[in-house]
Amino acid sequence: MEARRLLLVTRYSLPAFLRNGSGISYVVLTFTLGLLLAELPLSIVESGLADLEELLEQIRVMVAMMLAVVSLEQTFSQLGTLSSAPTPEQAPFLEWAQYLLNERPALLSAVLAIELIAVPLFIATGTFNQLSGDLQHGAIRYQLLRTSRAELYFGRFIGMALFTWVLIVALLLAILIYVGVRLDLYPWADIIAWGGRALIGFGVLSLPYVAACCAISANVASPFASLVLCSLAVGGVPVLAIGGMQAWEPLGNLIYLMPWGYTHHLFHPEASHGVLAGLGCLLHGALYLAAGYLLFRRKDL
Amino acid sequence: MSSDAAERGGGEPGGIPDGLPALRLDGVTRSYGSRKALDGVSFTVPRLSVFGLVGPNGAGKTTLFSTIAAFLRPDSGTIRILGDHSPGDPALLGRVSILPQDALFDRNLMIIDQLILYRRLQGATAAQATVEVREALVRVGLGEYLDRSVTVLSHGMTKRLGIAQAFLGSPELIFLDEPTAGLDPRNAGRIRRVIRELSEHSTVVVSSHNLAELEDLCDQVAILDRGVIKATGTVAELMERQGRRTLELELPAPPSEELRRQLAAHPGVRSLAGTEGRLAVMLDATGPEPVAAVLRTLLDAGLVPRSFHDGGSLEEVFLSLTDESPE
Amino acid sequence: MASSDRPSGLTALAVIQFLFGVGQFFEVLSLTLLRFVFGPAELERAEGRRRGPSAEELEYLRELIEVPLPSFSLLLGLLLLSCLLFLLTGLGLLRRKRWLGRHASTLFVLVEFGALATALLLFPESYLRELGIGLIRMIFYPLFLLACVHLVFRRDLVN
Repeated sequence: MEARRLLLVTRYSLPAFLRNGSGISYVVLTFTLGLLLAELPLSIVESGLADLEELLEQIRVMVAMMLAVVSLEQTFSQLGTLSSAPTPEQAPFLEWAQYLLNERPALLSAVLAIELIAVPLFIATGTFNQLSGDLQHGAIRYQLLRTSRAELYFGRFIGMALFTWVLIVALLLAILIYVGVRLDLYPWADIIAWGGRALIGFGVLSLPYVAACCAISANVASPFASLVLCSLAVGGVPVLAIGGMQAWEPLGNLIYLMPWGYTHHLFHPEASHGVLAGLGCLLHGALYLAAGYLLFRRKDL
Repeated sequence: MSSDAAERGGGEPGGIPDGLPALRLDGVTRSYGSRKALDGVSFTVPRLSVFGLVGPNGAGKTTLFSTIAAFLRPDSGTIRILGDHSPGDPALLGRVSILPQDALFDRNLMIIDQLILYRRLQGATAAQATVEVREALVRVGLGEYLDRSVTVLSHGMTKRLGIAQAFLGSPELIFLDEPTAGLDPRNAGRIRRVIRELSEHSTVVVSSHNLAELEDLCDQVAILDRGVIKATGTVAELMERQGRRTLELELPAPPSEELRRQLAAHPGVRSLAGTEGRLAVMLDATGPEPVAAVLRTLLDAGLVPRSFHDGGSLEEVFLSLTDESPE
Repeated sequence: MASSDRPSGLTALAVIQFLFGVGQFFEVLSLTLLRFVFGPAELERAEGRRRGPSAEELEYLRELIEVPLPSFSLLLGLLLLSCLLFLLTGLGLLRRKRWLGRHASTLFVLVEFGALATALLLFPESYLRELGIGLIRMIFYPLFLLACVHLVFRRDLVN
C-alpha cells in the first residue's frame, strides 16, 4: 500500500459520498434525528414537566435495570428484586446508575444513553454505500489498474470513518453547547469533562460499525442489498440476541457479534472498563475490516 | 507523449526487460460454474504492437481481459505482464490500463474530476493531471463536456471517454474491449487514429467484432472461440495458414464466359463466383501475383473494376475457424 | 442522450428542501391560527381551569397574542418568505440553476436567520423554550445548505 494513493482515494471519496446523495441523507438524518432524540430527556426538564432531582431519583432504578440487562448479567425475571432489596450482584448496577445520574451531568448521561443506541443505526443507514455502488456499475474497474484493492478498500473506510467522526463530533458538540448555554444546570467543567469522554467514546464506538458496513459494502454489488444487510447486521443483532435470550439464555451472547454488548461500559465509573470497552470496539472493528478485506481481495470484480 | 512515457522512453521500450514480450499467457483457464469461459488460453503479445483479439459473442474476450486486469482470478495457468509481473502486482499500477466493456463511470461526479483522480493515482500532480485530462478529452472530441456528468453523454461519447481514460498517462500496455462498438464511422475512424498514434509508445490489445478494423489496425491477431484460442499470428500468417482468400470485384459489365475461363485458368485461382457485375475470385495462393494476374486479364479485356477488395480475408479465416458468422 | 446530469446529492438536497418547506408552511399556518383564532379562545378557557395547557405553554400563547401586529406581521412575512424560498430553491437545485439554486439558497439562509432573530427578539424566552434543541437544527441546516451549494455543488449550479 502506498500512502499517497491511499490518501487520494480517501480524499476523493468524500465529495463523491456527498454528491451521490447518501452523504447528504446521512448528514441530515443524523443531525435531525440525533437532535430529536436528544430532545426527549431534555424537553422533560425544559418544559418544566418534572423536577430534575425528583426525576433522577425515579429513574435511578430503571437505569440500573437497563444496565443490568444490557450487560447480560441479569435476566428480566431476576430484576424484580432490584428496586426493593438489591442482591450483591445487583448492587454495582445501582452504583453505576448513581454515577451516571448524580456524579455526572444526568441529562447529558440520558442523552448519551439514547445516542448510544441511535448512532450505530445512523451509521448503518449512512455508510452502506462505501463501495457497493461502484461495484454494481463497474466504476471501480477504472481505478483498479491505478490503485490496489487494499488502497481502495482502506482508503474508502478511512474516508467514511473520518466523515462519521466529524458528524458525530458536530452532533455531540451541538448538544453539549446547548445543554451548557441554554439549560445552565451544570458547571462547564463537568460538561466539558463528561462531553470529552463522550466524544472519545463515540469516536471509538463508531469504528466497528463503519468497519462492518465497509466490509459488507465491499462484498455486495448492490447499494440496496448493502443497506438491508448493514441495517440487519447492526440493528438485527440486538433484536436477535434479546429475542433469543428469552428462548434460551446463552443465545443472548449473540449480542457480542456486534459491540452492542459492551459499549455502555464506555461510560462506566471505572476508567479501566471504559478503556477495555474502547479496546473491544477497536478489536471488533479490526476483525470486521480484516474479514471484509480478505473477501474483497479475492472477489471477482 | 506524457511525462511518464517520456521518462520511460529510454533504451528499453516500456521498461520491459530485453527479449520479454509485453504479455504472455500460458494455459489460462477460468470457469463460471461448470462452464469453461477460458480453456487453456495461451498467446504472446510482442512489445509495442497492436494485437487484436477476435471472437464471436460469448467467446471469452471480456473474461480474458478481466482476468489479465485482475478483476477476475484465473482457475489455472500463468499470466505474465510487462516482463515478469502477475496480474494485480503493485508494480503494474499505472503502467497498464483498460477500457472495460461493461463498466460505467460514476454518474454523480463530473467527468474531469474522475479522470483527474485516475491520472493522479498514476502519479501525476493535480496541475499536471488537469492539463493532461483536458488534452485527452479534447483529443477524443469531448472538450466541451469537462464539467458535465457522464449521464449527458451518448453511447458513442461514453466510449470515447473510456478511451480517453485508458490512454491517460500513456500506459505501457492498454486493453481496449470493443473500442469502436456503437461509434459512427467518423468517430470510429478518429478512435482508430488515436490508437495508431498512441501505439507508437504503448502496446495495445484490442478486441473487436469489426474484422476489417482489426485487419487494418493490428500487427497480430488471436482468434478466440468458446474459450479456446483457435489461431494466432499476423493477419498474413493466418491467411497463409488458411491457404485461401477472396478477391471481390465490381465490374462495369458482366465478364464473358471466355473471360471467366481465362481467369479460372490462372495459377492460384481456385474458383469464380458472382452474378452481373460482381465477381468473387477465390484464390488459393497468397502474395500479390495472383491478384495482379487477375487484374491484368480484366484490364486486357477492357473491364476496369469500379471497386476492388482483396477481400474478407480475416473474416474468411474467422468464419472457417469458428464456424459462426461474425456479428 | 440522457437529459439530466444532476448528481443524486443535489436531488436529495432538493427533496429535503421541499420537505422542510412544507414543514415551515405548517409552522406559519399554526402560528397564524394560534395568534388570531385558537390562541385567544384557549387563553380564555384556561382561566380558572386546573387542567389544560401548562403555565409555559400559556405564557407562550400570551406573548404571541400580545406581540404588536406590525412586529408579528414582520415575523410572519419573513417566515412566509423563507417558506417560499425553501420551495423555490428546491426547484432551483433540481434544475441546477445558478440564481434560483445557489444565490436563492444564500438569500434563504439570510431570511431564515432573520426570521429566527426576529422571533427571538419578539418573545425571547417562550420561543426558545418552544423550539428546544430544534434551535440547533434551525442554525445547522441553513449552514449545511450553504456549504453544499457553494462548495460541493457549486460547479453544478450553472444554468
